[in-house]
Amino acid sequence: MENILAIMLSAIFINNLVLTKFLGLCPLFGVSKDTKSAMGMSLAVIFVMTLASASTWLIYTYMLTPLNIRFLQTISFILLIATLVQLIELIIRKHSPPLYRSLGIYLPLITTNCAIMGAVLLSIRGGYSFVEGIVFGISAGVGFGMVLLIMSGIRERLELSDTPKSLEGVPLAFITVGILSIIFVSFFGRIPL
Amino acid sequence: MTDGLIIDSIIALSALGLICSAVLVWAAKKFAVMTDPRVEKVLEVLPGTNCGACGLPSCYEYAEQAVGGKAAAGLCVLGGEEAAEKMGNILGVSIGEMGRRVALLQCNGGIRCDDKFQYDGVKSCRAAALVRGSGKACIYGCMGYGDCMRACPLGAISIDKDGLPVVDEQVCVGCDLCVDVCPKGILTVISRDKKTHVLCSSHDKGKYVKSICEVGCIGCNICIKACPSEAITIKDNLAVIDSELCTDCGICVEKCPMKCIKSKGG
Repeated sequence: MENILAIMLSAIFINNLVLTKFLGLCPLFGVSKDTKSAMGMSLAVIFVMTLASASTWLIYTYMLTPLNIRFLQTISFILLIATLVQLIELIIRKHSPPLYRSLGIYLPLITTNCAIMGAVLLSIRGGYSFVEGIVFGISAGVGFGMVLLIMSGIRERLELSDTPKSLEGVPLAFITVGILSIIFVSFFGRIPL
Repeated sequence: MTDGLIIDSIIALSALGLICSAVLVWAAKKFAVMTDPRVEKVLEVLPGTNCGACGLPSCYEYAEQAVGGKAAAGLCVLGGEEAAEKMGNILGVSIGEMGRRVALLQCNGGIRCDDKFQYDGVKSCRAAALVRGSGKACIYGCMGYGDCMRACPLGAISIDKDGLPVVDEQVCVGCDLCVDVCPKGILTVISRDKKTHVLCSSHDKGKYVKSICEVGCIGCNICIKACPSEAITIKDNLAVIDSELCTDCGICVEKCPMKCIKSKGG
């Protein structure tokens, strides 16, 4: 239990995928213009990341490890994640058209999202058990979503505030992320892992 | 040893790939969403520019709504008459039934209407309307600065020598954009089928109208008496034709002393 709590805190705050591992930066800048789409993207990422961690753990443990072909993890995970996202898209489209409309455009983006791949590979490298892997997936997703939401909130306010002309838009977003990143780096070493 | 590893890898990855594709094929069948094949057909007819002039965010959305019967068939501005007709064929409705519409200016004054003062500001209706309700003596009258002409995405409106916008009915698709910009609110969009219209919007008393405009409705009631189908009423000193009852017989056009009731195309 303590272990799981540590994994959660670590994945959300200390080893935050975006701010300390610098993964998934394109959605961070692409989808953080307004809170609504940031929310949709975050939910999609959490969802896919959780399922991806579970399925890749199974494949890694019961297929790649016994056959001693662990070096194939990257390519087989790409395959799995792409299939998974496609599958989810099909299911959502059938069963929940409103969700499909709000999530639909982000799902194909996630297929090639490095944050998902990164989270999955990190979870494998961490040597987590099945449950721990899932918890790590959820937490990494939550961490990503949190940063995305923080960013979109800040950017929405920055849009309205009086900023130097040369910094408007993306430059200011870069600076903001930098400062955010420094803040999160200060969490390092707070929890002994 | 190495050979075994290579073979293992090939088999494992192929198997994984096969399983994944099998799952997807199964899911595609199981979760297939039935879409109306007509949507695709309509989409082919539409220009696909997602311009939004029909009032819907994308061509796909419009095709979907049109097939579902929620949107009229002839709304596509870019596609125009041609697209409307093709859509009509696909959906099995004639465009006439869907009510092909066209813009109409309910003012015939222009230079026939007196000026109140010389307006010398920005040549824009919306600007001019802010200065004591325009330089025209008639506060309902068209100023002719052409805001509607500039709003028209198709260039269907031009200003004629009388200082009034003229709608080219071959080009106009009834998109409502000019109606929205007119500060006087005297442009409307009407059904193409109806020919007879009162080309005046003035609610002023007849005597005053007569003093400022050669072609304004003075509310004289002559058309009401002349109309065989009792389609005309006077509301606030202005003749109004009920399009449901009007038969386009043209009697009121002849009888109107101010010549403000006009028949299109004759």
